[in-house]
Amino acid sequence: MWDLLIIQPFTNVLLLIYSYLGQNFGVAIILFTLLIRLLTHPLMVSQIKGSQKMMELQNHPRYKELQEKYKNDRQKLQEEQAKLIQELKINPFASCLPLLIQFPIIIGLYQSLYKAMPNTPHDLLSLTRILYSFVDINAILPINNQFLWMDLSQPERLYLPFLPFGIPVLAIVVALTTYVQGKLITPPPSNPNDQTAMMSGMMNLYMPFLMGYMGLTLASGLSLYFIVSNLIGILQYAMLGKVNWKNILPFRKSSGEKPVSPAKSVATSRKGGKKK
Amino acid sequence: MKKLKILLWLGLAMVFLAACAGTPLNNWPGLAATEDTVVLAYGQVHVVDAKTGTEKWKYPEKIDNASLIFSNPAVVDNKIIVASYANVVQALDAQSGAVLWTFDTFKGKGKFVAGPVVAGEVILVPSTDHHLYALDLSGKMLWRFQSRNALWAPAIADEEHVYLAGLDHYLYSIRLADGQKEWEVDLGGPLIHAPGSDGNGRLYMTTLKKEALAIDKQNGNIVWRTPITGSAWAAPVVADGKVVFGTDQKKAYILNAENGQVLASLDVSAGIIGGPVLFDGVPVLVTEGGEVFQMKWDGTRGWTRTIKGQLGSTPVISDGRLVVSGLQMEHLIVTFRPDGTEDWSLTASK
Repeated sequence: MWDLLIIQPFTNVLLLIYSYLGQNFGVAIILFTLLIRLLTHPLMVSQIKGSQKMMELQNHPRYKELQEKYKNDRQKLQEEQAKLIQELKINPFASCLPLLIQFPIIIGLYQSLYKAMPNTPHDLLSLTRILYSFVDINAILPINNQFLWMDLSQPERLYLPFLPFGIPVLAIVVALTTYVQGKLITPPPSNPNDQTAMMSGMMNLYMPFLMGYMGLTLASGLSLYFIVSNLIGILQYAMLGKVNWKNILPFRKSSGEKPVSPAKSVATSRKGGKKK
Repeated sequence: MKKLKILLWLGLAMVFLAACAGTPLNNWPGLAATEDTVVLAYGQVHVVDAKTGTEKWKYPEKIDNASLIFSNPAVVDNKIIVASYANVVQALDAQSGAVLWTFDTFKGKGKFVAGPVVAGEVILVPSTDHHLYALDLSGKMLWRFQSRNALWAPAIADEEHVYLAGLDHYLYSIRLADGQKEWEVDLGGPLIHAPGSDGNGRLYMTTLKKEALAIDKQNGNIVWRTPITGSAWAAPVVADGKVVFGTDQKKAYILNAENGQVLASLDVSAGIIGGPVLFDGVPVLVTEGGEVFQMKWDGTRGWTRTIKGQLGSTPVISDGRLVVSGLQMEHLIVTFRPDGTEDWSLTASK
């Protein structure tokens, strides 16, 4: 079912783009990533709006009151918070549901990239069995995996004549763009000492390493996808005015900033995003 | 809610990692045989006594994901020549498994998907890095020939010439002595198996364009072209003026080698990926459904046996037994006697 609904259409569209637009797999990956990001854009907008509403809720005076009033009764606090959410007509899953829908798309995209670059006859046979009739494998093989200096089916290294080792340029750029994206799209925490804010900060730190490691060891076509995806993600957030440019300074002492009222904090961040 | 989102992202990262782990380089096992030894390449090399089915040794002791070996090994002068996905060729001592030499000049530049073949004193190994490498028996490179794209099919050779099929649609004739190209011919579709050959100066190929072709060895001229159902993934067997092969579209064919006319075709229950082999003078084929069957020269079925697994490797003959292997099998190797009864099998040691 997964293959039928996700992998098969994705792989076919990817190869269709490849066969009609230049027969270069690098170009196909870039265009396909762009297409998927455009198609999932409404989900992303909905996710951002959901997050925004939840953030506003956390800064709502009545929410703060409840937290103060029931700080020793967690169950009661949850009940009252749920009532308030209902009263304000906020859908608590509005920010998570779009994210959940994007999961299979992102994973499917990754897997279809792998499928579309067969490395062995076995992989090629699997590919031929999922192609739609309008994709002619005979016309697209051998797939042109060369893009700039890279073989997209292999992990990438840039070899310079004066260096005895190859530089993993893509892996570095993957890590860098993941870090920058994470920083740019993370809203400023209302309370930096909050556990969730700390978790979010940790994630922004670990994810670049994780993605960089994947870029180092996996086919460079995937690294290209990660980079394009990160850049488009930043662009999408920027167009929606949700980018916090100040965040990209790695050692910004956000916890040392002068405390501001929660409502003011949200307003400031929104204004800052639009300005940029 | 924010926590939930973070957990969701962490979940995504974990699924991503799981997805990475689930896409290893994969292929059908390679097989080679001498009169007393069976060699299986399935990530690592297993050397088995052909009479008893006892594993003598394996190399490397544990599968090395950076250097998987799947292609058909070659056996020459008490050496087993193996080529790995790391683009490395090694000669192993047939008795002990000790590494005698390693050719790793172009390590990491591509993969050896196709196995080595030995032509006299020359080892020929095609790579996905677009080159066919010719080595001497001590592992020294004699020459290399560059094609237009990746090479997935083993080369074949006679006393003076090497014939090489490429994913680039071209069949090349190369001088064995110095690696110079003599002719090339575009066959109109990607070529993923070695040509079949006979004593009449012709090569027999199929392409992913679903055609079978005969080519003149002298000049590369196409002698005939016959449309087929599906694609063949392994070299055909040519004997007695007939060309035998199976396709991924559940068809087995016998063509007239002279003119390409279909003499017989047989519908089977699953795709045929491995090539046929002559066993006791009769073609035997294997299917992805686990069938092992005789296809008699008149196109009818002889004996059929079914075992668990996807049989995609071209079987080999050793010590009068048919040796088969594939994916998702209970055993690494299963052998059959000429009458179709099952003989010894090799189970993976833990």
